[in-house]
Amino acid sequence: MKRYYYKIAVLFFFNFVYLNSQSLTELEIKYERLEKEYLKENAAVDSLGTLILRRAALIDSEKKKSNPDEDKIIELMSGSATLSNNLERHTKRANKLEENIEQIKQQLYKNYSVIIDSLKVLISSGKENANINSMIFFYTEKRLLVSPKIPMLSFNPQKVLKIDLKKLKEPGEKTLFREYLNNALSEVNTLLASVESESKEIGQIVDLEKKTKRFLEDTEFESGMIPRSISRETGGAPEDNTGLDFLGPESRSNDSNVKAYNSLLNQLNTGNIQTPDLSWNRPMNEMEKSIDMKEYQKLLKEVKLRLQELKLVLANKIDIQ
Amino acid sequence: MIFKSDPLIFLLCIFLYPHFSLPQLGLRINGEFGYYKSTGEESFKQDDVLTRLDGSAKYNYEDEKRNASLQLRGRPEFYRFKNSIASVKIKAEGNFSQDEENLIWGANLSQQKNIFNGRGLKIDYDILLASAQTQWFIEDENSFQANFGYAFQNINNGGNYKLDLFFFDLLLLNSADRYFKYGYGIYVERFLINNVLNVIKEGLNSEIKLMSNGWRYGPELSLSFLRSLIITADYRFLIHESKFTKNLSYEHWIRFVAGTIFLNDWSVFVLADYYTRKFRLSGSSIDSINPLYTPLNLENRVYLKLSNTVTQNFEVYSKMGYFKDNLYENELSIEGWNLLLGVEFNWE
Repeated sequence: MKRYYYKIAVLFFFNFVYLNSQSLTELEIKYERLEKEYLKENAAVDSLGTLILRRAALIDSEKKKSNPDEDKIIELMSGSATLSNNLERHTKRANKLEENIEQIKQQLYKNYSVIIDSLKVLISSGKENANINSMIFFYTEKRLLVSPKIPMLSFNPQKVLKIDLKKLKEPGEKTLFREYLNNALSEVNTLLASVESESKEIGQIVDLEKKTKRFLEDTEFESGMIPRSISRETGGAPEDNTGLDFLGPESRSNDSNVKAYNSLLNQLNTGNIQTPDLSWNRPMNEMEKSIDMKEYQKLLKEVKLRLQELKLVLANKIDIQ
Repeated sequence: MIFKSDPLIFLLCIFLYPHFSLPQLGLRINGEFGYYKSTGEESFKQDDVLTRLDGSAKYNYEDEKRNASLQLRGRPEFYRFKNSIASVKIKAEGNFSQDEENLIWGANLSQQKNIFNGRGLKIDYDILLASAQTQWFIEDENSFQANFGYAFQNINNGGNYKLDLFFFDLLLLNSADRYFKYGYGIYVERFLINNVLNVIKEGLNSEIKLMSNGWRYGPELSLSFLRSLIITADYRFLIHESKFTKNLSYEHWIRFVAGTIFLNDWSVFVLADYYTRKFRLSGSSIDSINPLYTPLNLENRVYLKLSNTVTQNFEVYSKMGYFKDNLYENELSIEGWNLLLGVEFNWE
């Protein structure tokens, strides 16, 4: 029983820390407001995009005429420039909002997780009742709504790799499968871009952390003519030498991206692609615990490698025919 | 001294370590040249050209769950070419950490020897640090971090100043989001001072033995942001208790660090330490001397480094440093700055 009290105390302490850092209701209201703004901006982006396409078509058709109306073309083009500027402005706003929404979703996801875990502890300590269960369902539903996007492939890579256009006789069938391969390639390209962007950011963080640690080691070792830096070296913990113990000997991450990219890697693990020794080999159940940034970097490297290979194979399959 | 180690042990360890292999050995050599100026009394007042070499060799072993490293570092420094003052610093360090499920634990051992010699000055001091730490992940990226250990400092400068420290600190670390983390906790330290001073009393040389035991304890706070920019801030408020001080004697310590990598190859870092204290003396002094805590470490300083990575193994940089130490009950202070240009070769 003592164990349960201890767990409850710890979890409620975290509740306090989390939920007081920013009120849950405030976060939810902010999330709803930003979602509405985002939908509005996105609608503006869509309609402006359609307008620009229409204008481009009108300009093209006017140009193709035997006697094109130059004034009309100029008017259409100047209008298009204004529309392009507006589109750019709305796209920027939408992107910024999307970024903010993702951050709030992460915070909400964490807050809901803390509440759910606390409620589960209450149940495991023998306080089970219908009210607690319904609260767990309520918050689980809320958590699902803010769960981060998992970058998964919509197709089965193994099946795609088995497609051989040369063996297809029917032109209609060939066109259909080519289209399917093209779509798969475009999806792989999109994922590759997102992995590269994530990898770049993590690489930058690891480099910066490494350089900072070295800078701090140097300043601690630096003592000029008199012994100056003893207090920090002797008066603190070992990592205090760098003052970065707070970031951890290696910064750790167990945010949802790690799990998502690990799932993607499992999906990409077709066994058909020739891959050199993989440095990342971690079962999904181990992903429940946090990993350090270097390991995360390794995971991203593996995902990137697999996607690049899949891209190459898909591009070859399309080109050969 | 309660415990003593030797850098030679580390050297032997490097060569006898069973998993030794060349790719895990990192080497770094730095050369720096510049100007140094300090103000203060007598020998501390200097205005010199400074040349510095710094070399380190690090052996690192890493597998999925363990990380062990041994490092040896040496730094000779020369102030002016003729009638010079020289200083040498040697540091040997060994670290080990093991990753368990939701827990990391580790141990560190380091010893630093510093010799400073020339123009009538002769100071040498040793620092030994043995510590262990653990980090326990409770919820997502939230964790408890505990550090405890022992440190010893021995300064010889005519007199002899010994300090033994037993410290413990506990931090609760939280992540506000992926990039921003904060932590808070407590720091507790037991210190034992054992000084022998040579003084001239009634025209005769005599020795005064001074001893003091005490505590330093209080809350600490940490903040950190790490993305394309790193910003960290640490703060400690420590209550100081010994027979030579009265309540309420306290210390503040603030550290600020910021840095970024820009234009791919350039990086800039800044560190600022601010220390201040208010001690109320109890009047238990011996021959008007209060053996207060670590009289040579109370410094405020700012360091700035701008560097350019020319190739993967070669870097050029410029460093600027400013410090101000308040010694012996704030009665004496030394202030100085330096500006250096340096190159670094590394194979890591």
